[in-house]
Amino acid sequence: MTIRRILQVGLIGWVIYSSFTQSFAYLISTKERGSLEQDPVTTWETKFVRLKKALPTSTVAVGYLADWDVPGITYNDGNQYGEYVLIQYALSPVIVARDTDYEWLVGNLTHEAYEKWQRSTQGSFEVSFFRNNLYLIHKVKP
Amino acid sequence: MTLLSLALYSIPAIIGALMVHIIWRGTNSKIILVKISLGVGIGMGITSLLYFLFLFTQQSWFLILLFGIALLFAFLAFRVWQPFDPTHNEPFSPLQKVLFSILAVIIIIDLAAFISTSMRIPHGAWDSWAIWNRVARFIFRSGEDWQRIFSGEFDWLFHADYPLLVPLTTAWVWDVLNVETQKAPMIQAAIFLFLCGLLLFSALFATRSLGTACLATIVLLANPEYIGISSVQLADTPLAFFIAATAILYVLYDKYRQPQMMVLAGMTTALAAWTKNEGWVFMAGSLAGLFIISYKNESAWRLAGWYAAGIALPIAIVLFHKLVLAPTNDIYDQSSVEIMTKLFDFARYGMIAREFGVALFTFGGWGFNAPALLAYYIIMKSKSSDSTPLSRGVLTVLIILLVQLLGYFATYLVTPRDLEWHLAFSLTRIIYHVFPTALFLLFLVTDTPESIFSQLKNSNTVIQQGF
Repeated sequence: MTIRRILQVGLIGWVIYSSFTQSFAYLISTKERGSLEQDPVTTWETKFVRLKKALPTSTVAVGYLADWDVPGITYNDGNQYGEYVLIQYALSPVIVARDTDYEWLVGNLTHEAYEKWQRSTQGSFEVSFFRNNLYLIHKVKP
Repeated sequence: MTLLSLALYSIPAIIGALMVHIIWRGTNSKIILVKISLGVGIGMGITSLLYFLFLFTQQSWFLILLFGIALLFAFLAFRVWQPFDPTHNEPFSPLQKVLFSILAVIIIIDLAAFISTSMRIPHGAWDSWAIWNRVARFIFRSGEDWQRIFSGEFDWLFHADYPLLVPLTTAWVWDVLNVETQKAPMIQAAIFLFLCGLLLFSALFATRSLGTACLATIVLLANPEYIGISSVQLADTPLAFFIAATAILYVLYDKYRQPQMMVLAGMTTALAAWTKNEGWVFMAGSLAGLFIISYKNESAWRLAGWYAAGIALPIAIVLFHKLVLAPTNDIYDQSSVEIMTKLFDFARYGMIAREFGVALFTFGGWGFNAPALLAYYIIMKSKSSDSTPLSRGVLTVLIILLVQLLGYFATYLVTPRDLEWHLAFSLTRIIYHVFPTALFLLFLVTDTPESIFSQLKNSNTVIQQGF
């Protein structure tokens, strides 16, 4: 038996061994994906049930206001993007635009950010507060 | 809902398998599985295109249409039916049985991993919420106003220009069931996860041996990147499937010489473009493949004609989506000066090349990254090898892989996004697009396990005789 044959047989054995170990390791690692009880997206969506009901059914698009839009507020960039994507997913088929030039705005603001935004904003608004730092803002007068 | 969704997805699978059999009438029994795997993928893709057209009618009898098409294809398949030639009468060797059993165990582990992932994150991962499942929700929830998915009001994060194969494959099942169940995108993901494996297995079984087919499929399905990405309802696995399917069709054409196979290659190319924008990059690779396979071939124009017949209709629909409905892709939403500046910024070339190198070295964990696959090639490609020489089919696959990777390199060069961020968030996934095709090529040109072990057995016999 040549060295090449030994290597070839060994390599096939290694491929099979590493396939098993990798597959098992991956299977075990799926536990880190989260709990079996409730996934984060569903949890997130339940926060929007009341806000969605409060939004007129004919609404096609809403503006979006979050901590990253309020000057002087510190925020985590990754979290802001993640929450924005999840809010769009939850509110589908309403378009959530990163713009405040809409009749309806969805606010995802910490208390401090909301206070700051309110002080610096001109115009007339009706604001409904929902839990989890969520606001539905209706622009009454631009 | 799981069984209902599964039952509904079996309709396009049957339509596709019948269609493939009607177009490619080969009766070699070794290609039955290839036809089935190709058919399921093509059927899923064609059904999503049909549903896209159907949305314009604002009707609700899509299921009836599918049943009608299935019956028509069943009738046509019955008319052209010929019995398959039994070409494999030898019993399986112990080695083949062992490898097949190992593959079965890996499939069970993958299934468990898929179920565990799907139960923990039923809505998938970031891109599933941002793009694929979100678009499916918009289509299902908007009703007549479904074209809202193309609105220019979406932030670039939501990629409103992306192709629709995956979201429409979810949406038509929701439409038929009239329920928005997450089981539909989950089952779709599971189908493509195992379909890619079946395609690789069947193609290598047809071209090499059962042992090679098992070993290659084990490597694919055991790859943590593969099972990880395939489990979270993204469009990357369907794209990897259509790329591999086209490459495999070119190699099989080289073996069986049935020009109708080019119809299928045309279809799979168009469906790649209907799956992800990277599919447009693949179109260049597929056309290069067609050129190589037809070069100095007496029936080159005929082959091109068959290919055109397969690609024409689906690509017309894809182009209609791209040019008429979808907003401009963010890459083209920049001035030519900006693009030229990036093209002449040589630091970008270095950065992309370095990151490609790192990704190729780390892809798939410690098991099957590029150096491991290269080592496999060096050790398993012996001089006395029975493996496929550098045939036209092999060259075609090599060129397809090269064009695809070069296309991705060029895309990174001109990306309007922060390059470092773009590379970090997408490079592994785009290497993954060519992984099944690369595995097919590797196992196509290396020694089969059967030949290695039979020579081992012979040498042992010689040694015993010597004593």
